[in-house]
Amino acid sequence: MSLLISFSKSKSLLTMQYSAPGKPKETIKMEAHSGGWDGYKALPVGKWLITENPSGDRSYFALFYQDSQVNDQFLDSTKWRDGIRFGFHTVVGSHGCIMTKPAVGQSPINASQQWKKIQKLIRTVRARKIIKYQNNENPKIADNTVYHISSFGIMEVIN
Amino acid sequence: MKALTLILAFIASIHNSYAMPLAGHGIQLDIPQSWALNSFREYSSINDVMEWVYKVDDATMIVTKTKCSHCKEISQENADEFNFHKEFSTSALLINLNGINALYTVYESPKQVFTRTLTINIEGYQYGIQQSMSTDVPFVRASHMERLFFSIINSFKIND
Repeated sequence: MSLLISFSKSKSLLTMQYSAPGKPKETIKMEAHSGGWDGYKALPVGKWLITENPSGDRSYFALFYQDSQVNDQFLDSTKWRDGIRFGFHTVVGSHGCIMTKPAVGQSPINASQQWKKIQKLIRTVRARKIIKYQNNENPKIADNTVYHISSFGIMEVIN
Repeated sequence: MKALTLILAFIASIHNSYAMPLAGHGIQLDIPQSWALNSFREYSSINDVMEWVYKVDDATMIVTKTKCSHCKEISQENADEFNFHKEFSTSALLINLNGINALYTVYESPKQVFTRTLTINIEGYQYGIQQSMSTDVPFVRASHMERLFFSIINSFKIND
């Protein structure tokens, strides 16, 4: 079984490709947004580790940038950012989190079912791996506590 | 004098580039000058979308024009889909704007952002006007923004 997840910033499109032995390849596409609120930019391109949400809504995941230190903080050019999540809501935009939403003309119920399927595939197809991390990258809010969290492989953010 | 003319022409071109995009796409919307156009983009997601993002210090307004040939006029069913499913954290109200049905929704995100949206389907397009702000904003400011939003959506017209 394999699962490929990517988010295109220029298309505002999340694509998930799932394949299992003996079954036709399945592709799920959802409109999704990163940034737009309060002047926040979209996430930088690159690889992001999908983990359980460290706090808050359990239907959301967290996204940890694959830089020199994989945790809930990252340096975006010259600006520290943190708390990037991956979830579903009913509106356009975010503070950087990748948020899927109902496409225009799509029932929110149908979109919500798609999001539930995405969650299930993320939590069941790839091997779950427990990682250790510290949120001590940003010197202004350094936290040296060692946290353990479940991770589910990579999402690629592309232009 | 020539330099002054050039400067004035430059300022006028900036003003036009900020003021014209909506009108250039057939949308009439009275947005106060205090709201700066932060970005404009066109993208092909599930649908073809044009998106204008305006901002002030504590709020964001996003206007979208999305091609949707199968979109029908908004109905009570669209409101019910939100109202009967608590998981969306969204409440919806069917309204009539200048004789056309529209959907007014309010959404509160788990990250303390309050969003109000007007959605209206006209002749193969869906238009969305959305205002987002933190739930931490003082009540006086929040109620001012609500009145402003009503004023903006009341000015919405499509030019033939």
